[in-house]
Amino acid sequence: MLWAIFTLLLIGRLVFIFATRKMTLMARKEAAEGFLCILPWLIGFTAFTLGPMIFSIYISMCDWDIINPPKYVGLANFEQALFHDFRFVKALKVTVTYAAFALPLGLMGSLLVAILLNQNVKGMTWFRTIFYIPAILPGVATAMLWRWIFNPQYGILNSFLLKLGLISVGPGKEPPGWIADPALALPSFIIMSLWGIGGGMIIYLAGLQSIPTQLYEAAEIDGANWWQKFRKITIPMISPTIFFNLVMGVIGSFQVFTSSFIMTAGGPAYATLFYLLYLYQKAFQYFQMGYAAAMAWILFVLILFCTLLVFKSSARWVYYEADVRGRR
Amino acid sequence: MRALTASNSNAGSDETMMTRSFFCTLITIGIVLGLLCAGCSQKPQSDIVELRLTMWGTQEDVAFYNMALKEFYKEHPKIRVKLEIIPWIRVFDKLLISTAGGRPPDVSRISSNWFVPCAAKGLLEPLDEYIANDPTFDLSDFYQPAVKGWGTYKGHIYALPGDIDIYAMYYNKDMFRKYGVPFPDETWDWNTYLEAARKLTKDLNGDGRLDQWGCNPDSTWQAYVWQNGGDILNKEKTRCTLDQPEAYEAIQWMADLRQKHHVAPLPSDTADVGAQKLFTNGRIGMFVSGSWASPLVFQKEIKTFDWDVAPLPKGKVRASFIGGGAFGILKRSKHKKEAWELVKFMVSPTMQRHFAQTKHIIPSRRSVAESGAYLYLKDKPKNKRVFIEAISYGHPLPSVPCSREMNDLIANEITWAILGKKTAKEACLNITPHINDLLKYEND
Repeated sequence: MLWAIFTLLLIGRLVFIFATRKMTLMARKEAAEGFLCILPWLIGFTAFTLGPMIFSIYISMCDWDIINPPKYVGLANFEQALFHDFRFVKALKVTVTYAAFALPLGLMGSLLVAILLNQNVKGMTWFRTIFYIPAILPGVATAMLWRWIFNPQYGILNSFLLKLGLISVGPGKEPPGWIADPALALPSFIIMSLWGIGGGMIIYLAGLQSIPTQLYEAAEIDGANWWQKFRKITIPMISPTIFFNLVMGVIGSFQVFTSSFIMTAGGPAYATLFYLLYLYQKAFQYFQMGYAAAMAWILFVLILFCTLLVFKSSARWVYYEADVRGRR
Repeated sequence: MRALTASNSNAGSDETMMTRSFFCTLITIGIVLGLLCAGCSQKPQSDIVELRLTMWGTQEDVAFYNMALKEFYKEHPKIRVKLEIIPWIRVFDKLLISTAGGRPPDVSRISSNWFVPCAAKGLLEPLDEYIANDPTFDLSDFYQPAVKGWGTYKGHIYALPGDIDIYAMYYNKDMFRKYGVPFPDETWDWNTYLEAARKLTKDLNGDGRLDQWGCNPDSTWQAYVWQNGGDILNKEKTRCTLDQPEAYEAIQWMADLRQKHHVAPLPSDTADVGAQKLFTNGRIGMFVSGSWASPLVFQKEIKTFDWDVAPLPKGKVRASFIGGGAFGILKRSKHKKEAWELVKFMVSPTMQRHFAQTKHIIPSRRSVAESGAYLYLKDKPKNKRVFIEAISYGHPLPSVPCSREMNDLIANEITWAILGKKTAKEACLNITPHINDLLKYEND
C-alpha cells in the first residue's frame, strides 16, 4: 500500500513540475513522451525498490515475524545488533577481513593478468577467453566446484600440494581441512575470490588498450625502463579504471553471499558467517524481519561510508585525461 | 552524449510519428493484457470444495497419494484435494509466507522440527474442539510421545501425528562377522560400543591413514546428553542446561570418539561425502540414524553387505531421538470442516497401513505399528521391533519457537569440541548464556 501512495506522490509531483514549467507546446510534448518512456521504469523503481526501502526503515524499528503485525520497538534492533550480538560482530569481522584481503588481491591480480593479456602473443584471444570464462560462471556452480577443489581427501588442491611435497599425510598428520577447518575457512574463501578476477581484468584491458602508444615511445626515447613506464604512464593512465574497479570491489566484497551459503552455511564455528549470510539467516530462517532490516541499513551506511572514502581519496590519485588539473 | 542529441535533431518528422504510434500501440497492448489478466482469476461456482494439501516428498509420491485419496473421495464426494508437493526443507517457509500472503493451504503435513514455531506463530487451528465433538475419533490410539512432542503446544492440540521417526543404530553385519565382534543388542552400553568400535577401526591399505571406522560422528549429539541424564533445556524451557556436567561430559565423550580414541572419521574424512555415504559404502561399522533412512537411503544404496538395526547403546539411562510428521489445519483455511475430515483421513488406520506398507514409515497409531502392517514387512532392516521399542524412551528435540536459531548456535559452538580445539565444557559454558538470552527474548 505504502508504495502505491508513493508512486502516486511521485507521479503527482512530476505532473506538477510539468504543468508549472513554462514550455512551448513542442517541448511539452517531448517531455511528455520522455516521461512516458521512462514510466515503466519509474513505476518499477518506486514499486520494487524505493517503496520497499522506505518500508524497511519502518520495519527496522519493529519486531516482525512476517505473520503477526509488526510491533514498534524503536531502535532496539540496532542496539541489539551493535552491542549485544556476538554473531553480528563476528559477521562484521569476517566480512571486513575478507574485504581487506580479497579486494587488494583481486585488484592487483586482475591488473597483472590484464597486463599479461595485453601483450602481442599468438592466440591471445584464446587466452583472454580462458581467463574471462570463470568470471561469468554462475555463483552457485562456482561454489559447488570449489567445494570439491577444497575437499581435504579428494580435492584437487590437496592432491596438488601433496605432489609438490608441501603437505604430507601419514599417521597423526591431517591434510589441511580448508573449508572444514575454522582457521582456514576464511582464507579458503579469499583464495577462491581470485576465481572471479576476469571481470575486473576485462575492464583493465579496455583501459590498457586506450593508452596511446606514443606515450610509451616517447618515454623509451627518453630512456625509461619498464618499471618507470609502468609507474609513470600505465598506472596514471588507467587510474580511472582502477578507481572504478575499486568502488565496485568495495561494494561487492561486502556483499558476499552465494559462496558461503552454498559451501559452508556460515560454519564451521561461524568462521565464514558473512554479513549478508547472517542477514539472510535472521530474515528467512529465524524470521526476525525487523532485525534483518536493521542489519541491512547498518550495512548500507557502512558501504556508503567506504565508497565515499574511496571517492574522497580519488582526487589525489585518479587522473582524467580531460582534466586540466594536473596531478599534485 | 553529443552524438545522441545530434541524431535526435536530425531525425525526420516521419521517424517521430513512427515512434509515437509505436509507443501508443505498446501501451494499448499493455492495458489490454492487464485487463485480460484481471478477468482470469475468477472461477465458476460449484458445490465442490477444493482443499489444498501441502506435503513434502518426491514426484513419485504424487501418484501414491492420489491413489490413496480415491478412498477419501468415496466417503466425501463433495471434496476434492489438490496436492502440493514441495521439498521438506521448504514447507515451513511456504506455510509462513503463504499465510502472510493470505492464501495458505487448508491442510499441511508438519514436521516435528518446526511444529512449535508453527503453533507459536498462530499458523495452526487448535483441534481440541474438533476432537471433542467427533465421536468417531479416538486420540488414545496414538503414541503419547508423538502427540506430546509434535501435536501439543501449551496444552492445546494443533496437529495429529501421522508418522514417527526414531533414531537407532544401523550396523554392517558383514564387518562384524569379519572381525568376530558380537552383534549389538540391548545389553550394550557406551563402553561396549567403544570396544566394538575399536575392533572395527582399521587402516586397510597401510598408508598410515584410517580408512575404516567403527562408528560415525553422528549429528544427534542430543541423544548422548539425554543418555547421560542431562538435557538441553530445563523443564520450563526458560534456561539452557548445557552448562551442567551431565550435558558437557556427554558431548566430550562424543568428541573423544574422534579425537582421543580415533574410532570415528574426522570432519575432513567426511567433508562433502558425508558419513552416510561412508556407511553405505561399507566403511563405517555402526551408524546412528533415523528410521526414515532405511527405505529412503539404505535399501537403495547398500548393495555390498548385510545390515540390520540395534538399539542405541545406553548411557546412564536409555534415550533416543524421536521426531516425525503430523497433519494440521491452517488457521486461515476457509473450509475447516472439510479440512478436519481430510486430517482425520490422513491419520486413519487405513492410511497409516498404506504408508507403512509402501513407504516403511512407522505409524503413529499403536494399533497399526504393532500389527503386521509394519513389523513384518519383508525388507530390511529385519529387527524393526527396535524402532517400536525405542518410542517409549524417545525424546523430541527441545521445542521452543526459536529452535532453529538455538540449534544453529549450539551446533556452531560444539564444532570446536568436535574438532578438539576446545573442551566440551568450554564450548557449553560459552554458549549457554547466549541461549538463555535467546529464550528470554522469545518469552518477552
